[in-house]
Amino acid sequence: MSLELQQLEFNYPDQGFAFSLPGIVIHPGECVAIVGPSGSGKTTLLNLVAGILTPIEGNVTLNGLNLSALDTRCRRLHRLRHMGMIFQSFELLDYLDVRDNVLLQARLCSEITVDDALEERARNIVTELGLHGKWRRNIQTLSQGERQRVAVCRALLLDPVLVLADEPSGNLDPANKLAVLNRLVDDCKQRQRILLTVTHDHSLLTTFDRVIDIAALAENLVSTV
Amino acid sequence: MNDLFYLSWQYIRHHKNKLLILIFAITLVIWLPIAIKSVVDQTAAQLLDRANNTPLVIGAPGSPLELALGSLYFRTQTPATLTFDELNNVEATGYASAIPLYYRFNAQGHPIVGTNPEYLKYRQLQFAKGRPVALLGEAVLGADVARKLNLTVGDFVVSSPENVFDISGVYPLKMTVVGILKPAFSPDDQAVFVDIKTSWVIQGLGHGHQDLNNESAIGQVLKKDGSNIVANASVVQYNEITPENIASFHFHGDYSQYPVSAIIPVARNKKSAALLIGHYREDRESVQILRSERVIAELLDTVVTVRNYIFIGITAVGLATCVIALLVFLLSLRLRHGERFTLARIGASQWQIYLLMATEISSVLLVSACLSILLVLATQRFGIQVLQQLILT
Amino acid sequence: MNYVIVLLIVLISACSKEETENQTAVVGAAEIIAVNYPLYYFTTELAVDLATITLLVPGGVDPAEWTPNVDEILRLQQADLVILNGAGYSRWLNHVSLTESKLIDTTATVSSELIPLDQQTTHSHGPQAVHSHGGYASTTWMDLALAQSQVQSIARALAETWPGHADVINQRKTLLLNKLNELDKSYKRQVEQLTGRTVFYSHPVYQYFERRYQLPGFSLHWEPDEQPSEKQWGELERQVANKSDVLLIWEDSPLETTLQRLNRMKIQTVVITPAAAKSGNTWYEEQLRNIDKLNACCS
Repeated sequence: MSLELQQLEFNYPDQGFAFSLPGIVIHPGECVAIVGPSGSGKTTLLNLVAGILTPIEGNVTLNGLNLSALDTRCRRLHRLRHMGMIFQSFELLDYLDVRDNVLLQARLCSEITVDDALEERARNIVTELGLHGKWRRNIQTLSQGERQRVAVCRALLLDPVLVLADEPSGNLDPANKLAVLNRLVDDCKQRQRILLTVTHDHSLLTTFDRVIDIAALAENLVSTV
Repeated sequence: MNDLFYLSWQYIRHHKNKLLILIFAITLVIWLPIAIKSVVDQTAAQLLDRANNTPLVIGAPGSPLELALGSLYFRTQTPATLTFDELNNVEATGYASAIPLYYRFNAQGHPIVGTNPEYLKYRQLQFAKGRPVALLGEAVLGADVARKLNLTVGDFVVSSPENVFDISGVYPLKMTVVGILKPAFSPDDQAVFVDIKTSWVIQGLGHGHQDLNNESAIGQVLKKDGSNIVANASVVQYNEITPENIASFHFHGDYSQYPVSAIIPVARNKKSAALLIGHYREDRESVQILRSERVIAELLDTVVTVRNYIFIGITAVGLATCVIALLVFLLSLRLRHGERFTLARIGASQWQIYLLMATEISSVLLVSACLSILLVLATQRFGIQVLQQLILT
Repeated sequence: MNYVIVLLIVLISACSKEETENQTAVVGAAEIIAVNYPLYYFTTELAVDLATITLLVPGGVDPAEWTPNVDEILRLQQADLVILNGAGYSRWLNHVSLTESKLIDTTATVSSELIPLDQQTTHSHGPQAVHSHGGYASTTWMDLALAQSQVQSIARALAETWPGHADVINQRKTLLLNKLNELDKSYKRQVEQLTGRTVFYSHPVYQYFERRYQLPGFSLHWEPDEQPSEKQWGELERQVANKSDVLLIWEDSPLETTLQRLNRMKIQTVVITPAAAKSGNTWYEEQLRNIDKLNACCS
């Protein structure tokens, strides 16, 4: 039950960007940070792992399932059901409250029924992440840190096997950064999820089990146009 | 699908002010031209219906439109008049019977229509209370008059003076209400019907006064010249016709020369109507005969032309409104770009994203359409009455 | 079977009306109302099967003094024709609401022959000219030539209203006119025998009779059912002084005491009834009785 990246190669031809990665294996419960300079392909890597992009060469295999061999629809459904996404700008819907933002991914997944049990689970996650009392509060009334925690709750609600976080603490103050990250890491370790985090903040690297420097690892062919 | 509708509903709730404004604007753009057309069409139908039910009208020479509006809707400022003997002329042709109308006076803004008993039968007017006019000084009220003046059988309605400063002119006559008509949804609802002789009494062509032969009138007698008694101006003329004084009411001069505003000829058949028209157009220059539906149709042509101009204006405004609404929707979509991106990255399908994005425009259009339909139905049912109420108040 | 007979009887009896206080003749969907008994008689003779002919004036009431009440006015409004005498006979016409086209003024075509009433009180007030409330003598049917004109007017109106029956109406008109013509001749013959006599009339209702039959006289204002006052007796005595062969024509039988005093004054009396109101006889029968009485007083 692991995430395997096998000799991934990808490029944006019109942007003159390409990279290739040697094989990487990440095990359940492992929290991995991906670092590298801007434009090195960190977010691209996350998109390849999420199935949003398809590698030119190589495979992404999660728990024995070759995601790269699936069609777009199946990859999307797999992402929806088994992965949690956390974004730098939180990407919450401002017309929904905390409750509905947390339940958003569940509502989009046709396999899941938003019932009392799921709502109870969501409420517990929200409470665990320190948002007790803000269950029906509109997102716009929350602080940055609170919003990021809501984003984390959303990503964790469906008990994903893989959490992909793209600069999850990028917009937070130092105190909140660490707090949010620590909670995320603790949860992943407890639940044996794989956490793959893109970050620029080297002060947080000690929180992770492994750091992958994508620039050092990948053969990054950048041509100047 | 329920979850998507739930998310859509949350979006609508959050942006309700903006959406309500859009709904209001789009509803107005849809409903207004339909409402105008409906009201104009209904009004035109009513006008034409009234005209079709009164195919011919005879009146003094002059504006056919003035004559038509006066005789059909009792709306005229200064009606020119015929003489009463024109009724005999109509009857003498053998082509039609004649119903006189004299609508010079009014009672608190409601036209007093002097006529004969045939008018109510001709219009198929029915009684809610009471009976037809039988005696001089009695009145039958249209349904709206009774309601507005809060009158019933046994009450009194007083004619309004034409000029409050001319005390020697037409003076108020107090008339007894003997009947109230059922609503006819026609100008008859706003009229006070009296015998034509009562109208002449209001005008002063007839009057009643104390008996100058009586000893009690000694103070009113200036002199006796043989068998002629000359009275002074203090002789009491009655301004109310009662069972006690009705016998004293009399008319001066020859009835046949008394004024009539219009005559409704009731032709025996179509051929008689045509012959009557020919008779009047060829042989009689001192009166005019008109076909009501033609005159009203010409009036309606003008109304329709004005309506069309209004439509053009509304259409231009409507197009502008639609363009602005489209702009609002496009801007909104642009603002929701991030939302679409997030949903796609989380794993929403394209059609789920389209559905959520379409919430805004579809809800606005759907609600606007529903409201427009309701408003159109309401306009068709109540539009004319509301408009009349607004105009009258 | 018995049930059918009963039903037929009920239907037949429903088809005929008993005479009520308001005189009616024949049932039809249409109704013609006459304002006095002569006109009622003429109309019945002409239109007996065309319409219900009604005299609203109760029996014994002088139609010239009668005024319809509201219910009667509403009935007049519903009538198909209202036969008027004209000459100001129905003074209530000015006060009621009726459809002009239904009103048949039977003396309209002979208005030039109407006799104006003289010695009426006139009055003037304000800017209006002198005017009077009098008019014309109204017992026009007592001139049987005028009565024939009235019959012509009625027949014309009936023929216009029921054109399909015009032939029958005209036939009946001819018969009726012949009857009236015969009456006219009979009156003339009888009245001729009164030439040279001094004639008084009990009431000013004989103007047309006087003119038609050349029997001028002086009109009193005596009521048959009232005792004349001494002033009235005195006036009569002055009038008849130095006159012989005085004849007093009454519109109805006078009181016995009045008759006796007249006899003492050697004044002959005869009743020539205008028959304006319904009595026990038809109007025609009343005219025949009048002629008989004239004959009796002349012989």
